[in-house]
Amino acid sequence: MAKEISLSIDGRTATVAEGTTILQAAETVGIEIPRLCYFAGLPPSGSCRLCLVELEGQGRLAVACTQRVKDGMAVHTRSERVDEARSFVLELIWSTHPGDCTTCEKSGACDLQKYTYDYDVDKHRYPLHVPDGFPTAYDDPLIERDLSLCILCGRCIRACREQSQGILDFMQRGMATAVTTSLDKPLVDSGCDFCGGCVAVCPVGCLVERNRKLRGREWELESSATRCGFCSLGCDLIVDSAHGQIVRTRPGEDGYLCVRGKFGWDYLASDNRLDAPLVRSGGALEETTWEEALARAAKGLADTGSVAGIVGPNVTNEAVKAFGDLVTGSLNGETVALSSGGSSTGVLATFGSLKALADLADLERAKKILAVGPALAEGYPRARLAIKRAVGRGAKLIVIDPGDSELTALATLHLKPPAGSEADVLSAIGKALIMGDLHNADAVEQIRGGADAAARISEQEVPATGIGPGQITEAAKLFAEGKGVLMAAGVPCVAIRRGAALLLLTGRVKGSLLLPYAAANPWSGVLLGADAGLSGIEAKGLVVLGADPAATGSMPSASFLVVQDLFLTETARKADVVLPLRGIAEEEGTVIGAGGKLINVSAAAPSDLPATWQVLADLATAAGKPLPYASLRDVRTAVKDAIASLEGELQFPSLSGAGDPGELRPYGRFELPEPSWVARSQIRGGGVAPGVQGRAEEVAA
Amino acid sequence: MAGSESPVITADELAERLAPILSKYLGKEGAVISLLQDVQEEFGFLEERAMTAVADALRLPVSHLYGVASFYAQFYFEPRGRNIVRICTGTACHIRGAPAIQTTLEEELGISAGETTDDLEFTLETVNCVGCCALAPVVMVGDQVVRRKELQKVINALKETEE
Repeated sequence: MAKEISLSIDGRTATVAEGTTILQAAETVGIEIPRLCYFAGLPPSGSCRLCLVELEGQGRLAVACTQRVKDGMAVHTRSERVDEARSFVLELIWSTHPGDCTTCEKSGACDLQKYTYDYDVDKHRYPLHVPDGFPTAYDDPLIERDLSLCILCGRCIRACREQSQGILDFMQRGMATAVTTSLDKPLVDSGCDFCGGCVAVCPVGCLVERNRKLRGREWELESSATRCGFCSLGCDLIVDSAHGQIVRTRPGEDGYLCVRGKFGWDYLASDNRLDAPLVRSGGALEETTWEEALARAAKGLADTGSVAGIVGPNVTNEAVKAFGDLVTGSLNGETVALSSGGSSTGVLATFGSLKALADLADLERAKKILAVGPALAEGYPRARLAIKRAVGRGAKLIVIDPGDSELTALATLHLKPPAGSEADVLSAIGKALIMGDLHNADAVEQIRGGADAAARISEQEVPATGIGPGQITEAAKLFAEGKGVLMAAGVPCVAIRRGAALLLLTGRVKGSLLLPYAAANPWSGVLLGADAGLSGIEAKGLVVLGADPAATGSMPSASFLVVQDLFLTETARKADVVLPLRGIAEEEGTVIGAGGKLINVSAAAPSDLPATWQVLADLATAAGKPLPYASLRDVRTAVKDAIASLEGELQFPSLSGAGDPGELRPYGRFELPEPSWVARSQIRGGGVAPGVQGRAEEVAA
Repeated sequence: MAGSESPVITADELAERLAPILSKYLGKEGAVISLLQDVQEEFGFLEERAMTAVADALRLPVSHLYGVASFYAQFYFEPRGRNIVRICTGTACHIRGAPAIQTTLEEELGISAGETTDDLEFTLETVNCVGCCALAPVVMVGDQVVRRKELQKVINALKETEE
């Protein structure tokens, strides 16, 4: 534990660890020192000079964001000298800032606006000097840059380096200095991955999200926290809304969102969203009331005599649970299938326990990381960041990827097998672990079927992969000990099974398997029990919740079809009854997080639609067999009980790929829209009807 | 833009020419400027692919290198002409007709000050003073100072070279 230091700040006594800066120490006693270049979580640069404070017994003012505390230090954060110095600094900054606060999106949340008000800097004592050559507009998608508003604080430069590609720096010098890319190229040609981290830290209106423009002023915003639903990693997400509509999203405590979370929300606000139920009438779908639609759905399904359900991976557990109960209970149906191809039940059967799943915290704390598959680096930027941080702390990274990526650049060992042979490489490493006696034999004994499985693995003939035995042994040795996480995406499920076997061989049975997936709630299928897959459906009546099997050609034939979704999807167009659906950011409930635990999500974005569990309960009531739930809380209790009953005995996975759904749905790189963001959204609004969160997937595909 | 057509260097050639420079500086602290000077010496300007290769070798974002390089007037990001023609626009030269000389040279070479001819023969620049005000107005071609009397000769010579 670091030495404690006591000092006085404006007469208050602060006791902080050695190495703390004056600015941070002041915060512990409730004093906020003004700052423009400092941003919590980023390395300080001490360049804006707004945080100047007076130290007793020292002639010069001190820079609070970089100067470390000393025992007995007496700090004055407000004094005539300090205020004069800060006013002067603000006047100089203000003299290069056009100050068009009436139309600036940042107005109300602008730090420069706040401080010029606080320090009464109301006139240009120095004439406004915005140097020539500062572009006021760039053609970048998603992010609007107006360098005439830039105050050169450098926060965006540091944010980009810390969490993303490091594409920004101070270019030129003196009055010509500008924060921009190499050779002032467009962001899209500079390697930008559009995480929006620069926008999130910009203290002024220089960097603004294009899609939040003209949707609401800062002081009109209501903020609500939830989890991002674009992938199963579930980053902290804050949704800001005004006038009953979403204005923007921003990162929560974690401080990071990728391009999907930061800019992908506008599918929720699409004009193309379904906002009223539709029923088929004379061949066409027509708007009707909820009562009429639910009555038609209940009767139509009952008339078919046999009912099955299909549910997608982007609805809450509560919706999945209510859906399962509706189909198998109220509608006497037999099968409820996952549109995602049985992946959740298939993969979880691997271990027999949800505890094996790892989340981002496990990944960041890992000492050994085995990353398998080509889709990790670009498809899951938050995981890439976690790995970067872990490696920065000394973790060893082994990458199995046929190509090169940002991850392979960080790797201690990079194995490059031909695409598709990742599973065999994992088998070879498993064999090497046992042959080299690097496995945890005691732990293996504890697992049902462990001894047999170990014997099978050691005796198996592994097909040649082009990876030499030296490298395989090296990988086995590297991975053998320490907190280890295996992460895989974009590889066949059989590779995941064999990777899971590696984890069991090395005794890592908890928080060790991270399987990012391109959906909010991919493991929710465990609430439904066995899953025969879509091809097993033979029922005549079909209910589809948040899934679009017609778009992938896997739609079973049905004589009566009820679809609940956000958009008029390809499946919905064939339906007899279509019900509108809330998006995951509009729904209160839980999802099963990447780490296998229940994670709360909230209705952070506004919606006029009824909650999904309620719609399903109403349909059950219309069918004459109400669900046993009076409130969301009741459904949640049922979900908790179902999850608790899942904790089975740990077991070794089958190493064959029999019955596997092929591949977990991976995200590829988020391709930027062409020809421009605006035009593209219009195209989307006008025709392409994405499924739940299909917008980003459509772009990614 | 004038002069943006650089002689084509293959990726292999680029790597080969960079290798000795990189091995000279890799692992040395505070050597970025010297390294960039050597790169510029080798290629005539800071070739973009060379910058990327240097950044990769140093495990730095390339923006960082551009941030350093663009601070200094000595670094160029576009190919330079084989002959650098500098028009002195210092006070003495200005009074004695530098603007007219600039106009003339711009017309003769078909480029503006700060640009390079497409054939990479000439780069035309203005400088603030070359330290021989007594000879004003002066123009420098390479490291030769050209006096007013000789200017017509220089222009003719330039024209000949162009032909």
